[in-house]
Amino acid sequence: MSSIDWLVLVGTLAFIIIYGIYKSKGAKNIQTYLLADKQLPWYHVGLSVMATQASAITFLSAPGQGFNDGLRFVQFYFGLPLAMVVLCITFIPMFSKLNVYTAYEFIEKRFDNKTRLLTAFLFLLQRGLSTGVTIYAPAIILSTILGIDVTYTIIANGILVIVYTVYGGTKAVSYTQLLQMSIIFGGLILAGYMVVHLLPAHIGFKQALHIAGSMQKLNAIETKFDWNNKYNIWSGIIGGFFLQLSYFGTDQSQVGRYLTGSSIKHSRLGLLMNALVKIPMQFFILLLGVFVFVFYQFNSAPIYFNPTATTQLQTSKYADSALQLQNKYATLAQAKQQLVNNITAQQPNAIAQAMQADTQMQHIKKQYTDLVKDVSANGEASDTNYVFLYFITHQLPVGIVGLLIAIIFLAAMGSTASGLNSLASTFVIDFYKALFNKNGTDAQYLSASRWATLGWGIFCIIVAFFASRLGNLIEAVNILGSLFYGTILGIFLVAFYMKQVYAKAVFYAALITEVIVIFVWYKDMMAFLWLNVLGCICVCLISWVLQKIMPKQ
Amino acid sequence: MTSARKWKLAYAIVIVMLVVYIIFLNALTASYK
Repeated sequence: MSSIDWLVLVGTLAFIIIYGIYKSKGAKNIQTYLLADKQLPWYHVGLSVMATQASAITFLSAPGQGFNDGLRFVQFYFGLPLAMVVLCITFIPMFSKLNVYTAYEFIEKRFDNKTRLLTAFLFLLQRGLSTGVTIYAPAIILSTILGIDVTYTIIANGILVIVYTVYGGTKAVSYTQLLQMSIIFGGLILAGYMVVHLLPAHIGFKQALHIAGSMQKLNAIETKFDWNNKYNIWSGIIGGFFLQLSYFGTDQSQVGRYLTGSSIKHSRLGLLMNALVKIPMQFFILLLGVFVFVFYQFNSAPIYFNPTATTQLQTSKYADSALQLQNKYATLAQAKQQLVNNITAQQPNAIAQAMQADTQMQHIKKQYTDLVKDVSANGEASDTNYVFLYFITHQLPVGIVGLLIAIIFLAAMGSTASGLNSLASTFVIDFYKALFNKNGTDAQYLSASRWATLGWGIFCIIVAFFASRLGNLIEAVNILGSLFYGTILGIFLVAFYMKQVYAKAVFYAALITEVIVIFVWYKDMMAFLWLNVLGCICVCLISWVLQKIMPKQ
Repeated sequence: MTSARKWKLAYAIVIVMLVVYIIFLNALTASYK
């Protein structure tokens, strides 16, 4: 990166942090620190909710996904608007009526203390590890691109977030997220304009769409139901609904965002804003990746977009094989450029020939990827996360590169800040206050919240270091989340909709469900995403059966 | 219009927009095959 890019990067990050600290002006009580005094308007709530969900990986991975796989990933979000409506009708009024700080307080009011502690503990376990990965995942990629050690990118990302989250609490998190999302939207629109602008002169917007469609990259909707197909309209609407309801309704990192709304109306409007904007936003990010794909039909692209992995391979015992594959790939790429031009000239068989060349190139790339996997220290076997970064750093002008790298940092900071804030609030409200200091002063709770934020921040940085050694922990943490999310959602759904079920039944149902879910996962009986649905259904059914055979409380 | 009706209308708009998005994306898929 040039010095101007570094200046833009550092300047943008410093501006955001100073702005967040200035706007929060140091919280004086626990209500301000954890709920921002419940004073935020709907658009603030909406952007904060979106910034929490959109981690750095969203902006790195999604364009790469568009590049490799087209638009079909957008279907994953079809359940989100429906989940938002259910949350507005059921969850928000209940949380607001009970005036809770965390979602798990509601569980105690509906059931009992031990069920609340169990639910909060499952959340802390899952969110603590995944926030560590939220720090680690972009850090490893940025270290590759910027050419600096991963230790520094982990520490930089972690410490920047800890500083303003410890100081300003929820208010600082929300104000920085407001600005982060504005810069992110602006940067993405700029990147979209640049990629279309960089296409050859004879390729306009419509021709680019035509080429992408011909190469099967505009396959946004798949209506055929298939258990093995991760992304179709049915898995998106049904599976996505359960997943988003669980995430937005029971995960404190999201609940803590919409509890800051100045009224029920503002919290609801914030979620409805998310419901309306999320799908177009994801569509646009994927389309950006599709246009990067079109760009590389006319410009030479590397066989593998991760430069560190390529260098490792080139210095390994497979160097000769790798070079042969690279040469074959480059020859085919040149031939394909002509075939793609034939598509725009509407020549007969042009699409079939270009597709055939593309299939051959994919086959060679797979062979190359297998070699990368063999020599890679962390077993990484995909360059999806590196496609967009490679495009940014190699094709965009000075200044814009710094801005777009800043966006990736900002996205990481937004979701990490919400994670730390929710871990601290759950630890202080559901454990410290509930178990050790029931009648403490406001100052004690505020101080405990600050220490808890710092403590969880350090814990997450340590997890990030640990993740960098194990490599494949990202998938492990996703599996870990799926082991608990279904159970947590099941407890909440019983609380809301099964009024005849009481504490003892749901508590034992949750424990039995965890055993079942872990057994099913251990025996590899279904893909881990379905464990969410299994856990949820098991808690509802088992608690109902137990209540029937247990004496009423 | 009462507050409850306004909210019902807002939820209906969200669901209608979801349908509109799906129709648009389906049309895009079909148009550029």
